Amino acid sequence: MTEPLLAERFVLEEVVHEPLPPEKRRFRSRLLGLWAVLVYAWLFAPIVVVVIFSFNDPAGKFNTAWNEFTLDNWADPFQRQDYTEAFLTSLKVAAVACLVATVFGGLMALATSRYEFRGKGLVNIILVLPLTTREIVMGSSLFTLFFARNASLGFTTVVIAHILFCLSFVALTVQARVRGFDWSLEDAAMDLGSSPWRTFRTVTFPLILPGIAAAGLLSFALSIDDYIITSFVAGDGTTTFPMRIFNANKTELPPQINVLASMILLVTVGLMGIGAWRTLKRNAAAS
Amino acid sequence: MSERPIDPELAAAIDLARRLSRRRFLTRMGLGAGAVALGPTLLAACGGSSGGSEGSGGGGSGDTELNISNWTAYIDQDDDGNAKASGTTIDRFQEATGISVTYKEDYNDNDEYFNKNFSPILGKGKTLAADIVCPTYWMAARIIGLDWVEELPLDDIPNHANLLDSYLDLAWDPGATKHMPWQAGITGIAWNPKLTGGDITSIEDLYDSKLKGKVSFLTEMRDSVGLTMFGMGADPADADLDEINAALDKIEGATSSGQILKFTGNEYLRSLENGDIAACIAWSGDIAQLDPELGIQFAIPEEGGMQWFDTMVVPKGAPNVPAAAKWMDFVYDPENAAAITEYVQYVSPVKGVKEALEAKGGDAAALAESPLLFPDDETLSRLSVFGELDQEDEIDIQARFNDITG
Amino acid sequence: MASETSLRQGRKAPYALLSPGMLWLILFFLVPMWTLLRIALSEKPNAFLPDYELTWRWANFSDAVDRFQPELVRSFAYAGIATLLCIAIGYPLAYFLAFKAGRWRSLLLGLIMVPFFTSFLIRTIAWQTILGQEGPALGLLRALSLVSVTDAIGLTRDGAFLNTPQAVVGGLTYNFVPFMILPIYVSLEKIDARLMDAAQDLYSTPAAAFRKIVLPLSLPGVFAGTLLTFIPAAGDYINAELLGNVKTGMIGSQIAKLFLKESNYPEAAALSFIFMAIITAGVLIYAKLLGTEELAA
Repeated sequence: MTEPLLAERFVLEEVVHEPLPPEKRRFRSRLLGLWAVLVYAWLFAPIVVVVIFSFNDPAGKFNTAWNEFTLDNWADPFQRQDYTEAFLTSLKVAAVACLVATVFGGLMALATSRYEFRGKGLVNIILVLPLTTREIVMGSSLFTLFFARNASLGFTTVVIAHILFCLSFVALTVQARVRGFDWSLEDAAMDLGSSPWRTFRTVTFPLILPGIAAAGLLSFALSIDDYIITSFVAGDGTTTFPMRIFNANKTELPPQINVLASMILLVTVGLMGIGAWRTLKRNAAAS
Repeated sequence: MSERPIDPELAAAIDLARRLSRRRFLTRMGLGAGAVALGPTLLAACGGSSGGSEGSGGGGSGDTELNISNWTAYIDQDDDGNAKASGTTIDRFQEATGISVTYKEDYNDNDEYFNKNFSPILGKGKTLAADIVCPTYWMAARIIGLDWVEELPLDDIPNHANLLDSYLDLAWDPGATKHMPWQAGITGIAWNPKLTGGDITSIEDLYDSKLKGKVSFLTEMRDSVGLTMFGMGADPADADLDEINAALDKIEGATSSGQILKFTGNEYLRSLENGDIAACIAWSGDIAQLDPELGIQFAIPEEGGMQWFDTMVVPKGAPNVPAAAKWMDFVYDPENAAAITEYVQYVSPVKGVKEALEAKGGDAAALAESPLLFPDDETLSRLSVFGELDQEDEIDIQARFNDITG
Repeated sequence: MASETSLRQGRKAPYALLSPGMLWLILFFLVPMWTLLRIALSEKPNAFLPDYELTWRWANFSDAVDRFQPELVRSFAYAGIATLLCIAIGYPLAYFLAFKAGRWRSLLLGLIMVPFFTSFLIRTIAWQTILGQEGPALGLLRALSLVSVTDAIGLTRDGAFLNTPQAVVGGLTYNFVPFMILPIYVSLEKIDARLMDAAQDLYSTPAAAFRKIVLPLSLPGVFAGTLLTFIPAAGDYINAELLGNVKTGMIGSQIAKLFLKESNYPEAAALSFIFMAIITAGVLIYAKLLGTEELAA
């Protein structure tokens, strides 16, 4: 589960590039270029299908064969009440999970990267463990916990689980981004008479904000996409969007699913774009 | 009252299940003893319950709200797929009673619902949010046996009288005082003639190497094993352990040889439509709901077919029992039941549905003639309900079946 | 290095900052793991009732291994093949991005992640559409009369993509390839361009330069990518369920089935632990090779 950690570093950080090595082996370059085109085509094939089929007017219950172009699905993306409800549940879960995980995880990252203290190694291990634990194990362990503690499965248990798997992500993402910061800036501010709170607000927070924002976005994306863990801890009427799709895809696949999925795509890509643009601007200003 | 063509035969089929379910009584006795042994824990769980506002046992008296958990695509919807759109059964119920209905299609699997909701919640004396859930007959029998459901307030359900008589003497719920059937159906075989090149009339055809790798079976153990038993000349209603194991052997062989491609729930529909499989074990209503232009065929195999029904039960301690009663009464009105039948195209357990459909005329009247919705005596004589299994046997068989299905 | 007034010198501050998050991790990660372990050593006297007894039944573990050996082997085999495919696909792409992409590099890097911001399930369902009997992939093959060729080389089976082990491995490769591309890219990108020039001066052929300089320097990326791909691929079962057939079941679905279908919590818990133990062993070996800092980053 460490994946997007890397991802976000690239997307948001790697915008400054170095000069290219001199171009000599033209043929090999072309071959590599061709390979890249093929790989990108492969990566985007399902997405293209999802987006194209959001404009389909399917003949039967399954939106899997092309029938007729229509804009109706986009005109009324929330037409299917049951999917919309599940979608809203997912948004609610993701919002709460992302908020709590970002705050808790951000604080943890601050503690581990700024302070030296006893037990730091242990804390780091406990932080990494959830990431190496597979979803199926995490889901089933939470299931047994709620079961053993007589907790009814529902919205609360889903949120608890989502906060859990976002937490380590946030902490490690922020940690990775603030590594190497010059914390003596804080001391300087304090020496100049700034109060601790003011120092945090004007020095520390702006420093960690990009990391926090990226981590928040990631945990939102993780939460809204999770199926395996959720399937273990959701019950008794709480259905998230991925669960709804997984269960309903047996009897139907309405095009609204494609519309909602395309919307998630647009929003996350949009947010990513804003992030990248801001970093670009900052880097440009810095240089 | 039992002059409907459906009655005597359905009665016969269910009778058989009932005869076999005498064992159930013993099982229940066994459970009773278990409950005594586990007494302290259970009692503590009951006494200390803080889960539901109503506590356990009593059942709530709410009649302004109603929460229903059902299988997907199991009630009438408008063309856009909204089950609560104007004119649908739920909408008319809300209009008529002022009760606001929360209808969730989150009952996806009997075992899964049992392990996530019934057992951990009801089994510890707490309450579910749902007022009505729709387990299949054998699961309903199980949770009724475990005493995890409310007795239905039959006085508030006058339309209970419309329940087909054959459902009234099930050993696990005589008089149907703890459950009301929702829809019944037939398990048979479906095929795509473009791919099979001909009709599939026998279960053995599914095992024919001509269809190798083009066949799917159902993850519902009783359907896959039951049909195979028919094919081997046994009657699944007897639930004979040796015969069941022989059928499992046969399924296992066909799985490892690559004859059976997949075990599925309703998703066989899409595979059949897309041509990824050529023939499969299927549920009658699913096929009836399909677009006829696809040309998908359904038949009860010549050796025999499985019969089953899903139920409505009120879980113990449900907050809105009166509202649940009103719902059951509403959907047991023949007119309302006919509206549901017209959409879901399963066999209705309600008397007078055929007449109601005929009275509607048009397409509805055509449905009244459908042998899959209103099977004739000859058809019914070829159907069986899977016999009752001991708890131990059921777990062993299910485990073995799960190993086979991968 | 820091003055007396430094915020970093607080004794209680780090613990205060850590406490909400740590509490969460302890309550909902460590405690559940403990519960899971207890259940793995328990018996459930009655499968239908929610009670279990801790009887230190270690046989749950051996039972689980006996029963699910094929799925365990299969999970790691599929994950292994998918990981190799990820390297084969991802390495050249990462190389391209690091050295040949020019000013398009940041855009192209960002694009790699874009498909992964739609739902995992929806992507996989889209693959069902693409690979199905009436989907564009087979349509193209049929138009080119290549089905017999792809059958022969094992890309398709009896003229079908869908419901084959190939499709499952393909799905795993697709879903986890970015986590191979990105770490390899990182390690390649760190290589100094002057080093490349020097290498070309030193060695006679570009191939030798690649083998002696670029490849060794990029190996940490390959190692990291391998774990980032292999671990999630071994634990996944959605690909197997949606794209595979009855003989492609992976360990995840067996655990889910034991919990949710058979109510056999003890064996399910034991199987979870076995699976986790294998993974953890792998991670430890990795950590030994590269250090936990790298893993965290």
